[in-house]
Amino acid sequence: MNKQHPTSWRSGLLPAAILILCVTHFDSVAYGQVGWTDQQLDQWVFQQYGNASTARARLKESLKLYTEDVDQICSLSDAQKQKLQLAGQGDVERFFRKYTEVKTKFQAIRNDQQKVNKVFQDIRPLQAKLRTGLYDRDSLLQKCLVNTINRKQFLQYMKVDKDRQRFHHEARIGVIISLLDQAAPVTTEQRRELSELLRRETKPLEKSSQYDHYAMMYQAAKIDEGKFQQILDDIQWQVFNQQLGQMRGMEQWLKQNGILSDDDDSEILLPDEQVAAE
Amino acid sequence: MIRKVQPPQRATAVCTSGLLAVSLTLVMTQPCDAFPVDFVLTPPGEAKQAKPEIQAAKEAPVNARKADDPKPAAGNKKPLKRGFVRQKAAIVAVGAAEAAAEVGVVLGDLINDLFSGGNRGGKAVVAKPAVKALKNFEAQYGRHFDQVVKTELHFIRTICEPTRQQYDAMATDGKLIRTKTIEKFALQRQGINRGIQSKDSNARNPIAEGLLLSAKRHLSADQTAIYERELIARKEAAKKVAILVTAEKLDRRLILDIPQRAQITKVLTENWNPSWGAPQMLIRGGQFLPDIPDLKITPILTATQKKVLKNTTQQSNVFWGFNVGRNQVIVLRDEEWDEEPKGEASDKAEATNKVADADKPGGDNAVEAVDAKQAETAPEGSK
Repeated sequence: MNKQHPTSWRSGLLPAAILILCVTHFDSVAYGQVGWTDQQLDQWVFQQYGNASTARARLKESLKLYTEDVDQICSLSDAQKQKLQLAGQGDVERFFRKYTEVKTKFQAIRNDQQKVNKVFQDIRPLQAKLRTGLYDRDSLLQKCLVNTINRKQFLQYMKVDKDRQRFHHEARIGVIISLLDQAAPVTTEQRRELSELLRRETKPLEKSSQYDHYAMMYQAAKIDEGKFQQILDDIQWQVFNQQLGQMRGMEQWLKQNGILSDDDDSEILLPDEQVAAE
Repeated sequence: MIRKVQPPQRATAVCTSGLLAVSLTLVMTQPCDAFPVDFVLTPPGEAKQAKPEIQAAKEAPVNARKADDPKPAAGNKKPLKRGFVRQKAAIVAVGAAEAAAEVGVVLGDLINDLFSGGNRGGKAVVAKPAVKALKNFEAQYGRHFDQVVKTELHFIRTICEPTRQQYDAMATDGKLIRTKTIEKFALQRQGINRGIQSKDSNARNPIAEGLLLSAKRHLSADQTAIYERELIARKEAAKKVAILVTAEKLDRRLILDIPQRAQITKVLTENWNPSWGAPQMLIRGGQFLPDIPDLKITPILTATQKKVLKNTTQQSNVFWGFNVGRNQVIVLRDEEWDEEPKGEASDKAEATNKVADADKPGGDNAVEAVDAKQAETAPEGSK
């Protein structure tokens, strides 16, 4: 009656395989031979895209979306479209040039764990760039846009862009209040007052990333506490203050990850306005 | 103010590995009667007068069950085999027994209905989390659930302005509701571990709905209406934000124009799914896109936008677990009442006064005041 399960011999294979892997791994670690692969580097840099070719394809799609959007708003000429496309491609190439530099550096030291850790300092800006998008204010595309389109087109574009930023800002404000509501419920009136306060005292984010909420909470944490206390009662404030407390002191981290920039207050200026400002 | 009336005669959830998976699958796909024990809640002052109707109320659901349920009566109950889930022990483990009452109105069935989606009658699969799992779950998250109940009661107090007696009665109901909610989410968690999802993960919703039932019993119609209105407004606000955030995520990926944004918002509103409002979905703005109705959205998009959407991973298979608010548990101050009897609250006030006295120049009770100050700043649990 001692019937052996037909697959029981297979169950022994897994621990054996793990043991072999561990021995191999510890052997290489003991001699400092970590041996990170190029694929691993790609995963660190490109994260959700997985590898360089997928990332390149997605960035090109984004560029196409962007130029189509500008075209729809500003009715671009063919020459203007071409200029924007070239500038955007320049941004993609610039990104991949930096990636190649990091890769070359990485390949030279891939077996030395300590040095690999140092390469991470170069990888982080690439990750941040992919997170927040290549076509930000410092991009060739944005600079080209300002120099390529005329004032009328620019004003049209800015109007639509501001509207989009407001839309995103409303969503972010909604999230802050919704999360407070889940932790310590607020009344309809308090919800309305909080929305107004946050709308007044925070700014739409210049860059978008998966950490938008943290960037907004960081802004909210800088608002005078008294203004929140006028709206919330003691218990609500106790709960909300804890949420805000987690965000205070995160400025450095937000900047390191490219979520906050040092010059967030600056406005985009047309070339003639730039000359006047200088 | 709660009394356990009679444990029902229901099928016990089987705990052996294979059957548990099957039973959990059934539980998660059908309305589940997870709380088959009746409780009696008593409004103070109505105790003696309520007796006859309470007896009728107690008997009605039990009789109804007897008619549906071919199981033997309580006296003929077979002993549970080793390894099977002991439902009664599970209930005791989470502190339901502490809720004892003299007499009162049956709320248990209403709450059972609430937690089983209003579909009972012996057909629903009976399931309870295993005792050990339930204990572990409560040890890990019990204080979070306490905080949800406490903040909800505080909210009710703020908007409905109940008397001390009304509030206390609701707070007692809150303990039962907390117990049931913990059971529900412990069970849900077992399901999640086996890949079974649940649409609404917000623990506050069942707690608020349970307290609404309690409000209907303990508060006036006007007070209850205020709370009900606020609950509806809260749900609407949460839904609006989740839709707005989902539309915003799509806009970030697809660069929508203004009419497209409006159209997509409309489609999302018509195809709303509560899982879109999970905190992780709201917070991780750019990273995760919920499972949206592609077929209804793609006709609104341009060719390039369609291509980008096609390459976007939607989180159709990700479930974020349950949500008890994203806060760490903090010690919230107790509710204070004007007619506070000599007790903890007045001790606190006394301590504060002593500190104030000690701060006065020449005060001779400085040592006592320091002790009082320390007592005041000590965490609630350590008192």
